[in-house]
Amino acid sequence: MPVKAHETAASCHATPAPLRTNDAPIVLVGNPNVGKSVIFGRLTGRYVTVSNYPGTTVEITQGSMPDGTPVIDTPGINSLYSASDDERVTHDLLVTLRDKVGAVVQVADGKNLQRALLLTQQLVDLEIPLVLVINMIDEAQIAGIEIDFDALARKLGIEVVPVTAIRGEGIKHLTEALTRARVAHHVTVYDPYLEDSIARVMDLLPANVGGGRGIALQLLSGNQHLAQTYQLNGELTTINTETSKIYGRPLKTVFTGLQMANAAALMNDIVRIPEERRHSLAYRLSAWATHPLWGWPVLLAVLYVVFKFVGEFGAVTLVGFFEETMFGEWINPFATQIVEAVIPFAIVRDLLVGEYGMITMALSYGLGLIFPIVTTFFIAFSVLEDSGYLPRLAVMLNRAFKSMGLNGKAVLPMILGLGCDTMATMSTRIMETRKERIMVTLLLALGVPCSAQLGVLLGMVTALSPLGVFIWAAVIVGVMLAVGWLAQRILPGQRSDFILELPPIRLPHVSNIIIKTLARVEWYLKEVVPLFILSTLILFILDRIGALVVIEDLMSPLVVGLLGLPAAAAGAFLIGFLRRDYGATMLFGMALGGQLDAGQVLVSMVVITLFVPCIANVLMIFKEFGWRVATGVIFTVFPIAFAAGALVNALLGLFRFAL
Amino acid sequence: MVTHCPLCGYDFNDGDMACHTSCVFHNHCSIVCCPNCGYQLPDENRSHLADLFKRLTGRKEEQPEPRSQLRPLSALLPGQSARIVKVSAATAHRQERLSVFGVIPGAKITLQQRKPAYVLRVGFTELSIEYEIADSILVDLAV
Repeated sequence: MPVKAHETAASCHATPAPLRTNDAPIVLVGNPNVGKSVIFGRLTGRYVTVSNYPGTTVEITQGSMPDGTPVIDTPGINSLYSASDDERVTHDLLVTLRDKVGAVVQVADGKNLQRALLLTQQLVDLEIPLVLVINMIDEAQIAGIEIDFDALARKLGIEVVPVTAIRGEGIKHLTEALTRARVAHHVTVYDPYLEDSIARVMDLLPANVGGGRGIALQLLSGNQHLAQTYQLNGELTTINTETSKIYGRPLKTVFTGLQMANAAALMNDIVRIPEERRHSLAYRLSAWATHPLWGWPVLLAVLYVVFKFVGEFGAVTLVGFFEETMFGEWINPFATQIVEAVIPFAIVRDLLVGEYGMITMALSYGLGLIFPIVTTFFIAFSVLEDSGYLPRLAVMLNRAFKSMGLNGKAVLPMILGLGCDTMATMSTRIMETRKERIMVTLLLALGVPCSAQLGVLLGMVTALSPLGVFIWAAVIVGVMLAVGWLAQRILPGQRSDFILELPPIRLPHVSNIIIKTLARVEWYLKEVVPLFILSTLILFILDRIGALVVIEDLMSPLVVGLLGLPAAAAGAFLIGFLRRDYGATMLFGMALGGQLDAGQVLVSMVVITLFVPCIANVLMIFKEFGWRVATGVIFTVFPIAFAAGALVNALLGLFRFAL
Repeated sequence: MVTHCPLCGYDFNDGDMACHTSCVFHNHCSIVCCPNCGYQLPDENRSHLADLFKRLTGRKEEQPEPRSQLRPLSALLPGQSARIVKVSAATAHRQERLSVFGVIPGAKITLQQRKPAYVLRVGFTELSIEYEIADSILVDLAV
């Protein structure tokens, strides 16, 4: 990186007054998908998951700079006046906790300056010390965009720093500029009517409120929370109705419209955008991926490659090595020998290497069978995420989701659910209405198998004929469609508009994929494997005290009578309450051991696929929506799972398919 | 539309036909019967095959351009550019959400595709919306 003159001068510059205190946090803010997380990583040396689709950061991430200043990364936000659930966090941080923020670093995409400047104006109104970072300068240059950074800095009265964060270019300038963060000039020109109303609302506020102009704009935009904080009702409502009557529409749309037009005016002599645009390869790929006809072959090709990689390379080749060779031939016999030679107590021996042993069952399932599958899935998913394909998939599937009262955006959490339903439940925040969030959560819990379970199921389907596989898939999809269709009618609330930004198609960075996969694998090892050990321990104890037999007897009318499965399958369902993939693994073991015939494999697969994913997922639903929704989901999902299984069993008995 | 019977020379309207009401194909039938003489003649405007042939051979005239250059975004053809005139205020929330992406009056947009969902470009933002929303945006083709 070229060393510039003012870089060396920065250490001894004399600042007139402390512009921000050192312990107050720096907050990174920006439109979705502009590279906030990369800059966060560059500033703090910490890694946060970086992806090429909106909604990656759904909660704030904290870190600190080398000098100890806390840095906060926030979910992307387009405007401070309307906030969906994923934007709410950012909104609250900036508006409600405004006084605690030391400085805001607004990250902008060099190609999308107008949208960034909308947000800039809203931040300026809040009067927080600000630095504007213009990221992805390399892409902007390739597109032929020219930006006069100095002129922009002069107009706004703040530091404007061009960077290409992914390559670390300009970060040094940014850390220096941070010391000079200051409140920007007010650049937005509102109508006299609006200015008058803003002044009237500011008069209602206590004198010591900082950023009163921004707060007033928030109040006029209908921020109920702030209105309660300042106990403004009667007079505020009067001003609001009076002013919006002039425009004939809610004021927040008036504000954003004006700010957007103003942003364009700001850019007028500062940014030069070429009229002609080259149709790059990325552009053509993007068009194919959403093409009404070619979009489907593209989708099939993507699915095929993912299946080859996860289903064949991961679930067959790698599992063959990890489970059969590593655990089956090396670790388990070796551990059994050692344990039997060293440990004199039979119960401890069984606990380690017995039927429900920590090594022979928990670890060989968790590390031998599922670990290779989730790892390959995480790699495939990371590539898909970074390529920008997923939002295009949402375009293709919007119509199907519409029939369930959802919109295409629901594809994103659903696909993420194929990795982990718990993470996906959190990312339902990108859905706009609570109804949609609950519906997606319900469908995730019901029928979207996570990577661990999917891998086991892929192993089990080998016991079935193509017809059997088809019936399984049809039952799962059918149940989800039916439940979605019903839930749409039963749940109160409404569907939101389908408005989705499509990020550019990009070639994923290998290092980014590796880091992201490692982060997810670490999460798997930390969270999932201990749960496997715990579940195995529970099974072991139940088996020891003889409760397992009692439970099998109790559940036998259901398991044997309705589902037509052997009584021992009750143990698998019991464990399935904790983690359905683990339950599936036990059923897989039974199938391998010849305890299930083809029909029974199909029935047990249907039931276990439709189970609630795992205890962590239930806790996440509880955390996101409260206990009522959590119990609602549980009491919806389990009866449906058993009912669907019983139905398939009854139909199989009636028609006697050759599976 | 008036049909001229080539056999007896009788001119008749669609409403005069007696055969469609008693036919299982009803209005989809591509054969019409002259109410005067009963002669059956093919209706090339109703026949899908004839329509396809005409389109393939380029014999079908494209619908004439509406004289006004104002139309809903939903009526643009892929590849066409236009300037936004108005975003319907039917729901203020929608208007506001579109505006943060730069979809505001005065902005120039290019429609990329219509199906399976509308995809348009505003500046460097690629945005996908559904038909109902595209229909609520009024654009001017005379850029």
